[in-house]
Amino acid sequence: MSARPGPAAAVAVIGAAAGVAAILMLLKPPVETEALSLQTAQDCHSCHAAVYAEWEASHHAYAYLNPEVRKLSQDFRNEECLACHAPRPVLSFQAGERVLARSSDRGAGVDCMSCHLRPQGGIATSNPRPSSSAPCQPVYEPRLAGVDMCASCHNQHQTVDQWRASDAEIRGDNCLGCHMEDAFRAGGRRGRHHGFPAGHDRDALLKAVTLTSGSDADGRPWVELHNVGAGHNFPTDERSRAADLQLRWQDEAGAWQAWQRLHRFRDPYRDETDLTNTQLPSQQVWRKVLDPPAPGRAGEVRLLYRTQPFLPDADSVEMYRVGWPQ
Amino acid sequence: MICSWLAHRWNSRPRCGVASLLVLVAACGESAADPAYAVINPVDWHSGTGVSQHLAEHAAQLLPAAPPELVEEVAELLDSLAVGGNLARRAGARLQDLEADLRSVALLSLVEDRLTELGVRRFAYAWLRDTGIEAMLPRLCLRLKYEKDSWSAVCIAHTLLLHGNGAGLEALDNLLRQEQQDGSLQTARAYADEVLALLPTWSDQAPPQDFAARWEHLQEVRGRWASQRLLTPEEEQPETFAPRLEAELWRFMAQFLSQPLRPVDDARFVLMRQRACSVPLLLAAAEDPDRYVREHALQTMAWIGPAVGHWCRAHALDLGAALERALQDPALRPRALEALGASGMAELGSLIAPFLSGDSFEERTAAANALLRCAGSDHLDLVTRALEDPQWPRLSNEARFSLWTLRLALQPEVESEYPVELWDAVPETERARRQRWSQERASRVNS
Ligand code: HEC
Ligand code: HEC
Ligand code: HEC
Ligand code: HEC
Ligand code: HEC
Repeated sequence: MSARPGPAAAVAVIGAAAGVAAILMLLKPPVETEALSLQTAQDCHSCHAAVYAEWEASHHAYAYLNPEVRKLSQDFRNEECLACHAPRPVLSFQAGERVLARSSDRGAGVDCMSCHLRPQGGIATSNPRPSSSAPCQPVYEPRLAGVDMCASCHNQHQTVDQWRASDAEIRGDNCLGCHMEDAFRAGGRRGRHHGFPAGHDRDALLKAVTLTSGSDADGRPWVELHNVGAGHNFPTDERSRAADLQLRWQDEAGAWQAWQRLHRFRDPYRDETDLTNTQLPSQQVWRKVLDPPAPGRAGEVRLLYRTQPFLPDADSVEMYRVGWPQ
Repeated sequence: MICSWLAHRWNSRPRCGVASLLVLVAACGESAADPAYAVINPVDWHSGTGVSQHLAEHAAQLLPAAPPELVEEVAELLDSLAVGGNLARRAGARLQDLEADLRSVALLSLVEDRLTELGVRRFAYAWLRDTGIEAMLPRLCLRLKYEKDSWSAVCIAHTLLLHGNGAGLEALDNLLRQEQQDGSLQTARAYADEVLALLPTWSDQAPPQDFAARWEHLQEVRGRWASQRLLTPEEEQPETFAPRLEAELWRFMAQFLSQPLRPVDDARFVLMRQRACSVPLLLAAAEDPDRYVREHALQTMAWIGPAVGHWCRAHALDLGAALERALQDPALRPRALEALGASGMAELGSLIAPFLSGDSFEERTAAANALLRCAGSDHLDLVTRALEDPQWPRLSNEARFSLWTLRLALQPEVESEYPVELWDAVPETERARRQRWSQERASRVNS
């Protein structure tokens, strides 16, 4: 067989040769990798135990085993759902393009290989000068820390487009400033936390918005929800997420009446044709002046976050509560 | 016929040309890639005819778009049908007078629009059933995915059946299995029972008399549709689709190019539910210049399963030869192996077997899965070696589970169980998938 690479190969070779990294690679002494078969997340565990533990507790590691996903996908009999929940390495697709499913080690969900395995070989790192003696052969790959890395899976519901439309100073260079905090690794090396906190993490949620209240010149109470800390809409991505502002007043005798919904922030399911998208975009404020049943009557507003819209109040996260008179 | 490249692999399990190429590139100092994910592609796909070109060739046959004013008029006419009396008679007459193509596309637009009122939608389905042209079938079939009204779902199933397509039988089955009995469900069930009575029968079979017999008959027809895409044992595997129907299928195939998910999912939903003469169309798409089209086409074939094998058998098509190029491309090879295995043709076992010790982890998993779905007892030895030989290239837990399942299927008389560690290492969903594949072996195409 004549060794004539197709056009894709030519592009890959030229592309790599253009990078400084490739020249460094050429100078690099050969590394013994025969014994190291890197195929699954488990294979990274022995040397990167701290990263592994962070990842293992994250929703990326849970993407395949998550009972919510299993239920909705009929235990993945609906194979459409495998693509992002048990993907092949993202770097084997064009930047930002759709990923496809893998057949091996699906239980590991969005695993180390999904983000780090390079189709040309080696492990992708955002470190421009990676250790040349590291047995896993880290190679500088600018795509790793880029937004398109996340877009392959997270732009289905426009999170990345929302990020692109948000203010430069909050948005930062990529998603990692908010979703991968600094972590310190053995030997003092600076690393990044692989827990990807968001909707399932109360602290992360609290960073997204503030709820404030007051009374206007006529003494009428008001509330404001401000998206101060999310570089995209709140709540973003998954259409099932909902954030509800609820209101209640005291009656004449001073007893609390039932909570009523004041406003729901949510991107509705496609078949909910009577609803529109009410997510709160980055940096925007939602404000409402309230009508108490009688002047000066005590009232409260709280913000509940639900991972799905039908979740009972008791199972939702109460993020904030404000009240009058102040 | 199997190409020399494959024969070569077969005999010696060589590091083939693909691998040596990779090694060449890798010699620049990087480790050899896992070839399943390699960007280095030995197959030049650019020469193939793309889906858009296929679609362009069928342009003259495609259904026209429905003019919005016509859709509005048809909606009003259908609305008047509900009123009854003279108004309804006039509306019916006007609908009859419309040109058949235009009427069909207007009705399709109405059932596809989420905002169409239920009453109008039901009338639209009924008119499609009674007057729709065959080229509507792919779009109508897609309604099975989205239609939530039970009566309408039965009507879709009925219409598809009238055109020889059994894709709606599953919806009938689901409906009749439901326990709860509210009012709207009852009307739908009564209609479903009527449709059961219309299911085709064959020469040595008396038409079923009571519900129990009709139910049993449904199960038989449904099983045949699932495994062969035929409704009766007397039917022959059709050679091709009518040109206009084929044009509409290319329209769906072109959606494989979409980056947003839904159009791709819709296309796969429709294409896997057609009669098995979709095989040559899918094989053509498996050679598309676009990587996603090739992937989705092969995956659709794998989802169709043994019906692909039955069709190939009926038309003496060598599936191994047809997928030769796909097998040469390391990125596509796992999908090609899966499509081969899913066809359930036992003779393909020997083509797949060498890949069980192939160059990449992912490829070996695909080969194991494929063997589970088609291989016969002539591969028992290989399976045992792969499971027991410590020198065997590393296999994923999924691959090992597939091989174990195959071993159990090939030796039902031997009492044996999965090793506990293996059982625990494979998610329940994947164990269940392999149980289903094992059961599907009953409809394999035996040589
Ligand atoms: C045999 C041990 C070993 C294994 C297995 C291993 N690595 Fe590494 N890796 C290292 C060492 C040593 C370094 C050098 C940096 C350090 O000191 O941590 C490194 C560096 C890295 C870096 C670059 C860090 C930087 O700042 O440049 C990444 C990314 C990485 N590894 C990912 C992985 C992944 C993903 C896997 C599993 C597929 C893996 N490694 C498997 C030992 C290993
Ligand atoms: C294009 C990639 C993609 C595909 C395909 C995909 N998902 Fe997801 N899915 C995601 C991402 C990204 C998230 C995380 C979003 C978030 O947390 O807000 C997610 C989250 C979910 C969640 C929420 C999990 C939780 O913890 O609450 C469920 C449930 C889910 N997906 C089900 C499915 C089902 C069912 C399918 C198939 C019909 C599917 N997904 C297909 C990307 C995808
Ligand atoms: C291969 C697909 C894929 C890629 C690439 C990916 N994710 Fe995810 N991500 C998912 C899926 C799927 C989930 C949901 C898993 C679940 O809950 O079942 C998820 C969940 C999340 C969550 C939510 C966790 C929670 O609590 O629900 C955050 C935040 C997140 N990803 C951020 C990122 C960022 C930032 C990047 C880019 C560095 C990224 N992801 C890359 C697929 C991906
Ligand atoms: C959702 C994608 C994603 C997944 C999954 C993922 N990583 Fe990372 N990882 C990244 C990104 C992005 C960076 C680079 C962050 C930066 O620019 O500093 C990174 C950095 C690293 C680093 C260097 C920084 C550090 O924290 O030490 C190591 C090592 C690493 N990853 C190992 C792993 C291992 C091991 C796994 C699996 C257990 C894993 N990663 C899973 C995206 C991912
Ligand atoms: C300025 C900080 C910030 C930036 C930048 C940012 N996020 Fe977020 N993200 C948050 C906060 C805070 C939340 C929790 C509130 C919410 O769900 O909107 C969140 C939530 C999410 C979720 C929802 C998870 C869930 O549980 O449903 C996903 C997915 C996500 N972010 C992905 C991304 C991606 C992808 C990017 C880059 C394009 C990005 N984020 C950029 C702060 C940020």
